[in-house]
Amino acid sequence: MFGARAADAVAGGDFGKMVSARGIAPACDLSLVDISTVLGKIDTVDVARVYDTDRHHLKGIGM
Amino acid sequence: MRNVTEVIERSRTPAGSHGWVQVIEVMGRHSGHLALWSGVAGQADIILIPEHPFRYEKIYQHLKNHLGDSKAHPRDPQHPRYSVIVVAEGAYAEDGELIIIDDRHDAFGHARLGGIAEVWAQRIMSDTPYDARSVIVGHPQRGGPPSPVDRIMG
Repeated sequence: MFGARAADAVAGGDFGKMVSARGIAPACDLSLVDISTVLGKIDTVDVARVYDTDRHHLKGIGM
Repeated sequence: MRNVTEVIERSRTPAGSHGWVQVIEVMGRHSGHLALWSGVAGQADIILIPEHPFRYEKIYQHLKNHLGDSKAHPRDPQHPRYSVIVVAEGAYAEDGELIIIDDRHDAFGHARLGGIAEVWAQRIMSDTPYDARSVIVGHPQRGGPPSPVDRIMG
C-alpha cells in the first residue's frame, strides 16, 4: 500500500512528494503531499487535548 | 512503540523486585508522542514529555503519594514498592535546559540529546528516600521485525 503508492509516484515521475496516510492503518486513505509542506515541522503532542499536566500522564488514566 | 513498550514491561519486574523507581528514557527528540503512547501502553506511572516542562519537586510529591514511606514500611499493602517513569529524551525542567550527551552534533547538525534518565535517577536518589535506576532504550527502539501493519503498509 504505502510503499506501492510511493513506487507509483516515482514511476510516474512525481518527485518531491511524500505518501500520506490518513486514518487507522491499514484502513486508511493514501495521498501524495508536497514534501515542502512537512519539512521543518515537528508533530508534537497536543497537550491541551490529551496530556494531564498535573499528573503528567494521558488524560483520564495514570496515578 | 512496540519495542519501547516491551522494555517498559521488562523493566517493571526488576524494579518491583528491588523496590526501585525505574526511569526509562525514550527517543523522539522534541516530540513526546513516543514517550506518551509507549508509556500508556507500558503502564508507566509518570510520563514526561518535551511539550510540558516539568518541576522536580512536583514529581517527587507524586512519587511520595504513590509509594508512601516505602523505606520504613517496605511491605505496606497500601502502596506499591516501585514506580516507573518514562521520560522523553527532549524533556526538560521548567528552569532547566535540554540534557545532551556531549557538545557534538549529529549528521543533520542537531544536538545529541540523551542522558536525562540518569539525571533523574541521580536526583531521585539524592532528593528522595527512594532508590532509582535508569534505562536508556537507545537505537534498538528503531530495530526489529516489522509489525503486521508495517508489512501491509509496506
